[in-house]
Amino acid sequence: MGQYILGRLYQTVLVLFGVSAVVFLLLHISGDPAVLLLPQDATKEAIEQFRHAHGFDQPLYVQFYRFLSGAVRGDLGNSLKFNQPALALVLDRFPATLELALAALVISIVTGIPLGIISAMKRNSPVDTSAMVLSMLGQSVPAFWLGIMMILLLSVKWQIFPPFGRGGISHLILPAISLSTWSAARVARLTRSGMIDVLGQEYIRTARAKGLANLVVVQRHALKNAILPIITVLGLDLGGFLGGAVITETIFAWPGVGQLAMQSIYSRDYPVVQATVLLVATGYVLINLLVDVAYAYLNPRIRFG
Amino acid sequence: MEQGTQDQRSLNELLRAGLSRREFLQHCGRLGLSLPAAAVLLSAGTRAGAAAQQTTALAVGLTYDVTTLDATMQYDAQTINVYGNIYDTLLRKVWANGEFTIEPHLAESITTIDDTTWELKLRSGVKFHNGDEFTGEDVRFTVQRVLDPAVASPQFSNISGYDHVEVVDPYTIRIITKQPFPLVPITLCNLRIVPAKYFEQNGAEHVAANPVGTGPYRFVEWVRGDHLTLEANQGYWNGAPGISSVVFRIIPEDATRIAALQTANADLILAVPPINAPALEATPDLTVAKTLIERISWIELQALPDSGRPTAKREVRQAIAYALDRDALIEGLLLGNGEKVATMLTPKHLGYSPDIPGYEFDLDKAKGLLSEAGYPDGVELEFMVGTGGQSKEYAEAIAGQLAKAGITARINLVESAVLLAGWQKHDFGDMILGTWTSNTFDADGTLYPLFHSDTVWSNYSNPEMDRLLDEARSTLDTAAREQLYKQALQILHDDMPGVPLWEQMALYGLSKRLQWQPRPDQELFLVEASLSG
Repeated sequence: MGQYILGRLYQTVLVLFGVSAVVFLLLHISGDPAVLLLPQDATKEAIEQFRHAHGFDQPLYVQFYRFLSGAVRGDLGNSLKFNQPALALVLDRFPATLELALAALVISIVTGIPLGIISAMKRNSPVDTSAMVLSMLGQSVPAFWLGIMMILLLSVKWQIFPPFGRGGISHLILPAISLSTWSAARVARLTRSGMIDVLGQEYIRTARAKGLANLVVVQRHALKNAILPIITVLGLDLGGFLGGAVITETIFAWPGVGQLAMQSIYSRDYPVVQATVLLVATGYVLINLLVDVAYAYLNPRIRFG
Repeated sequence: MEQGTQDQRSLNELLRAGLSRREFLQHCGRLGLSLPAAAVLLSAGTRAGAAAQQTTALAVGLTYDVTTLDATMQYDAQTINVYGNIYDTLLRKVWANGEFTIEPHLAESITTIDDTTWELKLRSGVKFHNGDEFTGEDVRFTVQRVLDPAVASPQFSNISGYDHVEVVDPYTIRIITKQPFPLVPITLCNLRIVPAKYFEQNGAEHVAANPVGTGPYRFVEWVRGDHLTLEANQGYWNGAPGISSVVFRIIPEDATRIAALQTANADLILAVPPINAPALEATPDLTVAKTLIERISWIELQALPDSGRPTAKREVRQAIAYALDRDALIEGLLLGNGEKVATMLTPKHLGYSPDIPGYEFDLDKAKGLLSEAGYPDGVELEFMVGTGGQSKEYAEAIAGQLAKAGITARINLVESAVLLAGWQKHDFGDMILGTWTSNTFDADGTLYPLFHSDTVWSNYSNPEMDRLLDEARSTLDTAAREQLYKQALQILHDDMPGVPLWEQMALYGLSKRLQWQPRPDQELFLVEASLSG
């Protein structure tokens, strides 16, 4: 197991190198930060001065080498816009994004899994149909639409939740629901299909024949076997929440990494975009590693050589 | 008919709830909801019943985060909105009836010693928030920092005409310019003075997050991406402000910003989309404040003869100007929130001339000019448009009008960085939809960068224009400058390298407990505001 984890960590370094190279190249061919960060009436002299001061007048390979040699020392450069270390800016926003992502994950788990189990157990009943219609809606409704509608109804009209910002739990509920809806719906559908598959197996019939309580059969025998693909999906979703909460964070004015990334992409703030992508990619790869390790724990048949 | 009236009423209620008409219809369409069904689903959301915050604290909804609080290092509108309350300038613009005068502020007087030397007497006894005394050294430090190539300040181009500052005594300074530079007073209205000693002791990085100024508000807290808090400087040299504290909240999404106002989580929001203004105005506790600003919308045309583009022909450019019905565009796109302009300058600019007639909508003239240019069957043009704001809708409306004159404008929608890069390289096709502001209220700030052949933005080359613009920026004689700009505007009118469209209007959403007038320079000086209730 230890050797497996070490191997995966080595792969992580390679993945991060690849991600850095791709992001660096894409950013540098997508636009010039000087024209976006300087005032409109900036003179040619001012634009050249800016490019020289930030090294943008150097060949691309020199800029990439400088970026990499800084990155291995943990220095991802200073933000062009904020004039602060890029990594510190991103890390400063990371707790907010992590809080939102974990809240969304919890909502996905506590709504999606029970809904899927109940649907599977009451297959083809009105409960099953309603649950599946609900999950279909959850997967179809765009997050931005749901977010705005929740603000209009639950904040503006009924004034139950604050419409934006980060604060106590009341601030967290609407953005977390908005972010988790798609994932919760997918988890519900996956749980349902997995449980239907497992509940039809011989050993479940045997367990029932032994006289075990329905709850014990479901919890101990069925769910444990049906849950592996759900864990994979939840792991991927958590990675997605960390990197892909841009829309939700923007709608709810949530001060996380996604909002910073969006602002930085628009202004071609290379160091901040690079730091964001590297951090999110690292999180994504590590979460996947944890999911794989969790497999071994949950299913003794899986062993890593 | 009755159903339609009900629909309209329900729709208005929805709009009041903070969703734009277009967004709402798009969303309904996606869900397959009919308008009445959706309107029943949602009813009016109003501020009524919201727990009004009975406090002397003001909450302001900004559209994006502040970038730095080092006033020498940034020049974007949101950042100025905040640090403009922390720092002071040497001079300031005072507005009355849409016009401004430049008046002393941290400086008590400004005089010219000779064509390149301006002497300023500074106010004594003014303290920075940390207790340091304000002197000429702070002015010298601020100017030198902006001019320092190693600092790469975004404000460099604003004062690039300055050479250096001499400190005669603690309360007298001299600004030496490279050549006669008439924009010194107006640039001093925009240059915020930072404390030299505090900067040298703590370093730029510290100052960027812990600003110290002489202004009416002192810095309290900045949670990046979320909010920024200021409190009144009770010892302010010009009288303590009436509002005791201010929280700037970062709310990028229009609908959420409006919801913040409706739920009493903000007293003032910026950048209200015109389509939402009527609904906000109809809400009892809210109002919308508007003002025309210096920003111009116009169509930049590729007028360089060697570009080989159809717009290199003057007749094609004039045909475009005649083919546009600006009144219809302002009414249809901006819902009346704009003012038609005949030239690239507004009446607020030094150098503006009301004698330039502009081009009135005339399709026959447009078609005639196209024929003269050798395009009797019409012409196809490439129209580069940025993705920001409502540019796409504007471009589509413009292309629709041009089509009636036989001009097919093929819209090339690109990300704003791509548009700016293409513009600088003169590689954008025939037309660009642009907006421009220099915040100098001086013709030089608009005409020089856009139409002098030696700038990155200009797609026009005319030695006579270059001469007029060079001469006008190097004399201190205001009357002579106005004459030179009048000639320049006449040439631009005849050659039409850029088609002026409209002067933009800024819209703010306000709680009625806030008394505040928006300024045409878009400065958000909260010392000018007061709260009731």
